[in-house]
Amino acid sequence: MIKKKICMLGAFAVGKTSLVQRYVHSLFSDKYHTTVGVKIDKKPVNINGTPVDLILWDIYGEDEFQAVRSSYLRGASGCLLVVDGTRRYTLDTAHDLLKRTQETVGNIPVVFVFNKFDLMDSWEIEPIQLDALEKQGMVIVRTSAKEASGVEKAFTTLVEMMLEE
Amino acid sequence: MAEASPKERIKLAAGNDAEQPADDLETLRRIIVGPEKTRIHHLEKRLDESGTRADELSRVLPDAIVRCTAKDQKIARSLQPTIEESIRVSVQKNPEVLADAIFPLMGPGIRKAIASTIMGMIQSFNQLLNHSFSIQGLKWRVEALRTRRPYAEILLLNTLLYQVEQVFLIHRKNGLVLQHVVGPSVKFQDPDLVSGMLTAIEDFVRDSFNVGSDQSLDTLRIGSERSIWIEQGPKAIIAVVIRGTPPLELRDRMADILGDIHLTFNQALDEYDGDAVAFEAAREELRSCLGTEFKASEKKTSPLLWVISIVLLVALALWAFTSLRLYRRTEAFLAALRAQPGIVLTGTERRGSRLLIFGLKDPLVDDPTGLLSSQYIRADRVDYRWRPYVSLEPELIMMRAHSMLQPPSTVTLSLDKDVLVASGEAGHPWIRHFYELGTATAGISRTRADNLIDTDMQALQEIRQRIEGVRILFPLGASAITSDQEPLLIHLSGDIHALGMLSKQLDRALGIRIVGFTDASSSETANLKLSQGRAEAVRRFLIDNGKVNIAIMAVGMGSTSVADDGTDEHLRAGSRFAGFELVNDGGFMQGKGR
Repeated sequence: MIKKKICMLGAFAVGKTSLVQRYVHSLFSDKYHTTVGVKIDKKPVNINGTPVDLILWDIYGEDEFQAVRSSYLRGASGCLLVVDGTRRYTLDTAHDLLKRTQETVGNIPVVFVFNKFDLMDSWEIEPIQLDALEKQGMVIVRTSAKEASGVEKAFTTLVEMMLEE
Repeated sequence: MAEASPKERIKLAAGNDAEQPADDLETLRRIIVGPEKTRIHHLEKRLDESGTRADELSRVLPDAIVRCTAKDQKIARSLQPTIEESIRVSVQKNPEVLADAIFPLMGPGIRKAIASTIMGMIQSFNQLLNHSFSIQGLKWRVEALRTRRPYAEILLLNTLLYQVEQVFLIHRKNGLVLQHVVGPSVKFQDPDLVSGMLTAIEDFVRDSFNVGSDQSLDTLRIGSERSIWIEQGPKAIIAVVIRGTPPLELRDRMADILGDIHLTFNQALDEYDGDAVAFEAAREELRSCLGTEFKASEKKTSPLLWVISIVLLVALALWAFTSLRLYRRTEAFLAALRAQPGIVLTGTERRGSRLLIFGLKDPLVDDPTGLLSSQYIRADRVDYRWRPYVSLEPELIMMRAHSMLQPPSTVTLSLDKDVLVASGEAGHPWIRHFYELGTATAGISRTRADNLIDTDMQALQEIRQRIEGVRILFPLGASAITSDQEPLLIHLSGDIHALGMLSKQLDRALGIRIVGFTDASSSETANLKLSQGRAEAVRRFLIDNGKVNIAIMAVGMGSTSVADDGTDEHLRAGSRFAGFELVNDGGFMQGKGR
């Protein structure tokens, strides 16, 4: 069985934990976020006939008080950069985190996850910005943890990219 | 030939130059480095020829391996992947080769594994048993009830020194678990998650306290019971979950194992991309960290255990005493049995509480119940398997003789080697029986009765004396029985009847001859007639007045009586009588009298 470490990154309250909770049944409680700064979950999947155990590192959201610990990124095989579509600055945070990830672990597969798609009316991120990202070669998935849409796709897309590496 | 020195070589070369001029430099070069160049050429040739190199290497390789192995385990670790791969290829190609090779190992291996498992079970059982009946054990039961925790857990907590429950081998870079081994009966969470969180916590501590790269989190304590020991390596981490307080040697062991793993799996650790198959081989080494050690039992023993021990000891002593006593009694009984005439012991067997005896027994000998009771052995605990035989022991010969001859109480039988001797007194028929049947008894070849009195013959002699002592007197010239003589005759008839009876008993033809006598006062013819008449008169009287059962004959002898010399009337009267003689088979018996 192959095991892959995936990091969930993003600004504070973009919905990383909600996405993970939609995807797996958690063993540890969320209090680890505030103590250790990370919560780890596991999800066995089968992608195109290849069984893979995904070890999901749900890393505490970065804000003005707390930065993501680079040590948590070590050894990651892929990364989900979660953005809250209703808060424009979370995209900037995602870019910062992408840069730091590449500095720490190099160019690993990354998927930009635009969450809270159910609140489309309140979105501050313009479609043109998404197009620009896609033109840069970034993979983008729109999700709604609340309505459970796009969650599976986000993870599956990332794993497929990782296995192609 | 000895090699020339450089100076000699120069002289030789100079001489040659004098005869044949040449390039001085070339000559000088040949002189100085010529031999070394030749040697270098030979060395190059040896290095270029792979066959030569292989030969040389094969000569030093065994010694090199031995030296290397004696030094440390590096060569073993280096060869391990190659050997494992060779075995894998061999198994894939033809599994039977390896199966045949390891077949002799499988039996002992399985036995060892089973023995180890059973030992573990016995240890656990002992542990449980030791504490089940003690006051301490009862306290722990109360504690288990109070805290609503299983008794086994309380017992473990109080008796366990330490137990290594889980061992994690974690990839240092990504925190993914490479291998995970667990002790028996240990509950555990998903090792991947635990491994991830451990790594995160380790990173968290390192980042939070700005520790150097040579420092790391090496111990986590969880309450007073559990701790996690972490040993860091450059590429991998070993973490062990421990219940209790382990010895410090465990950390040395962890470091050794981690070093081995780095040496053995160095490349696999570098190339790890999530597939941990390559690290399967490390499981056994990790498993060696697992272990359990219990507290040494306290010297204080519970009173209940003392009581149980004493009761058991007393019971054991009683059992030993009873067994020993029974053994001694049985041995004494068997010794007595062996000494018993008419019994030959061929074997014994004990079946449970019963004793089975095999042997030969003369039918005249009774079952040795008496011997049993003398040794206080219950008769119903002994079974006999006798086969009959005839014993020639003196006691048995005498028993057989008594049984066959049925001697009267007045007779004593004894044995003189193979001669049966009878003494005392007995009737004539028994004596005849003795002579006839004595030698028919097994073990007796002759009989003897020198000191045995024949009572019938003795009685015969007494009657004979009485009969032959009687004289019936007659008056002068008369042959009739006078009245004064009749009582004598009547008494005599009783003796004659007894004589008849005795005659039959002795099986002898006895008879009585009545002899008549006269005095010498008449002619001899008259006297003969008168004496015949007198004898006939007596015979007639006896026949008419007695129960005659014997032959009686009457004979007249005339005046043959020596008592009458014609001068004394008294003597003459005494010569007129009839007397009696006992006759045997028609003749007179020996020692007859008138």
